[in-house]
Amino acid sequence: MFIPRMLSLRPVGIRSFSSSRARLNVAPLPSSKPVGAFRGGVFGFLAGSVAASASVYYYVLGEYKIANEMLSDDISALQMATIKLQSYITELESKILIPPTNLKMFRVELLQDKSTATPGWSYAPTRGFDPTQAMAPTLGRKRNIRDAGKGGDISSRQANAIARHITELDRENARDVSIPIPVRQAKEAGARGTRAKTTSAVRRILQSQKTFRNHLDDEEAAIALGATPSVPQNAALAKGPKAARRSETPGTRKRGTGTSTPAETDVETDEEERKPKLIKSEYDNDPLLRSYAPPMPSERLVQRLLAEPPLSYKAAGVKPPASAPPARHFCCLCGYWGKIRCKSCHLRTCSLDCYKVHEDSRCGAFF
Amino acid sequence: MAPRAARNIFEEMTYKIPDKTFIIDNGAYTMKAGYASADCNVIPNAIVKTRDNDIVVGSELSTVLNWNEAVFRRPMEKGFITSWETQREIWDRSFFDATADAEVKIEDARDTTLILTEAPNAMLVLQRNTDEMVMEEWGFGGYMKAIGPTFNAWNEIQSLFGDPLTQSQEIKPADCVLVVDSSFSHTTVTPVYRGHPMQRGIRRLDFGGKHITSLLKELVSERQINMMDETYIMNEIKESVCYVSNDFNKDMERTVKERNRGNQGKAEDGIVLDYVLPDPNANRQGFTRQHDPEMHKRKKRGALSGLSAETLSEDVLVMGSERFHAPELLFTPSDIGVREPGIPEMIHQSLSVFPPGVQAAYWANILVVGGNSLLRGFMERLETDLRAIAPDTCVLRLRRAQHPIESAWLGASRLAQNREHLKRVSISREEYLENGSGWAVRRFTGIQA
Repeated sequence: MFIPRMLSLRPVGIRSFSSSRARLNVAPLPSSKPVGAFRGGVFGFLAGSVAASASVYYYVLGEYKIANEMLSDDISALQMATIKLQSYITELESKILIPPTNLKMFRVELLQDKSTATPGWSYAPTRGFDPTQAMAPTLGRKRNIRDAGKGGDISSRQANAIARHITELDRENARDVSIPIPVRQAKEAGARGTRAKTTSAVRRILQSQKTFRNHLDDEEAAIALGATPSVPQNAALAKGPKAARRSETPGTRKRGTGTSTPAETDVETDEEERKPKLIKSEYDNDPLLRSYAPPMPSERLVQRLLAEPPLSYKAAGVKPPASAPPARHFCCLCGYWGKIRCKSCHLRTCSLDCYKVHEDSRCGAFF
Repeated sequence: MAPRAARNIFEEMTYKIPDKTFIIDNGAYTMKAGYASADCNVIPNAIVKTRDNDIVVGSELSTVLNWNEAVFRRPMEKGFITSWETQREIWDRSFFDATADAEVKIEDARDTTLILTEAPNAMLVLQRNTDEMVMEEWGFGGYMKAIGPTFNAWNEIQSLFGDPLTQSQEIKPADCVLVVDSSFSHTTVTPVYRGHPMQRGIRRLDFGGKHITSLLKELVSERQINMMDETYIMNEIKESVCYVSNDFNKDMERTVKERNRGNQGKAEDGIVLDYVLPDPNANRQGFTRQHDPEMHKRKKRGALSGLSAETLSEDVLVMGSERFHAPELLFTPSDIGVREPGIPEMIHQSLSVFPPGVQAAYWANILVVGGNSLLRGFMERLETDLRAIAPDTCVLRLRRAQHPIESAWLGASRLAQNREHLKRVSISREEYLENGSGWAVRRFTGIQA
């Protein structure tokens, strides 16, 4: 390197004439010391700069990391916000797409119907729109006419007409008449004397002016309040005896038909009956036509079915079928197939002859 | 059933019910009443005001000669007693008055057990009203109330279905019967197991005989003569001419042909008929005769066409497609625009809530009762329609009760002969006074409070 070469040059530079060789040999050259002030400074500077650059490097690296994390945080926050926004949008869309009949525009509260102290009075729940009592259709006339013929759903006007027709069919007297109960002569009413005095309950019942509709409203209000337990449509029972048996917990069976149906004897006697039985008929020998009856479920299940409380009046009504053949229409004059619909009153006629009669004398629509 | 469990054995020992048993099957159109093991009496359940402003009650209706414009007041609405004021009057006149018919006269209610029927799915308030009226107004010594169709199971229906008779001497209800009751105000399906209803399968169609009559009234009034006020006469016309069509499309075509050309074939199977309306002045009942299009044309031309005075004075309704359109209401209510299924679909809906084994048992034991089943072709049509929807693995057997109208009463009469059972299911006056009407309702419905 640089420093040793400098040292080797020195003896060349200071060589001169000398007579005493010995003196030269005795006094050796002072040995060179490697580190001086100059070299230490260089080394210190180098070490310092390295340390400084390293620390700077690590500092910058840390800063970079922090910045990177902040960026990714920002990105994820953005992502979250996007997802949230998306969910809001879908929610809004679903709310908009619900048909307007299902939108609850106002809050319906059911009044308490516990006290029946006043005879003939009770609070009935609001039933919403009742077509049989509506004097006029609520929607615009034009819209009804426009929507009347469009297949599928019927217009509100038609629905009103049908509901009114049913209430008319339900009436026996064409006119509203009040028939008083005939006054009874004293001697006819003699049987009354042996009877006990009229109790308050009887008086209340006799004076009650409630119609069937009022009672029905009362029952529905009671069910809405959860007063009467109605039987849930348990799908498990319909599937088969096994599914229902599993769900049967001993705790729910309060009925003690006594000792007649303990579980062990039940199973034993049932085993025979549980196999599908051949139904006796004239086709028994025909392998294709003979038929087996599915076995009757166990006595326990039958007892459980019998113990169920009655359904409510509404729940016992028939449900509209899932699919039905298209409605038939009849001529309003002769009863044959109604092929032509009157342009103003929508009644059907079968032929031009019937239509002319209808138009001339029967058609009561003026629009 | 549940109520049996709710009772204590000691109670059964203490309280006795009177031996004399009186049965009322309280229908909306007629009451079927009488003592057990005696004859059944059919009494109209209505107060009628005639055109002459006479008011007649219950069994007096048979004395009315002129039914023109008669109006009715009925105690029942949709098959349930809502006006006890009316019902009390009719019961009093029919059963309790000194003038009551001896066969249905109740001398002393304390000394009598009453068996009363009720339509299924009655509101609890109405049931309670009934119990209170029976026990507090008349004070019967013993009382039992049950869903009307369940009594049908007590009849001897084994022979009806061709099953072997049971050997035991004890009177028992049939094991499984599906009772289809097509009555005045509605049609119900009740699965009955050993005399008890399976509540989850009870279904109701809100159309019955009343609606058929009203529809017929409407059809005739719209097309021919205004008969809107003549409910009684239209009911008679319905009973004499209406039938349930087994081939609807074919009957429609035949009607048109006969209307124009008259019935060329045999008289008895023509569809178009002339119904001559009753004439109370000439003391003449209404009757049917073969349709004669020629005579109608001549009548239109006027009196000069050489017809007798009698023919000219009579009012004739031409009954064509109306004959089968009106009863079609029970099978296809969609004809008047209602979104409800008919009786066959209702039976299917009723049975679909049961496990398959139970379903099969009911498909094979369908018993049809109620006045509408007397319409011609009703059973045939029901069977055709049910065959189409019944599962092919099941045997389908369908019978009409021997006496469709009195069937529930007869069943109750047979039940009353089984004294032990009657004692188990009925309540005595003392028990009622002790426990009250709420208890009675729970007892009869089987709801554990």
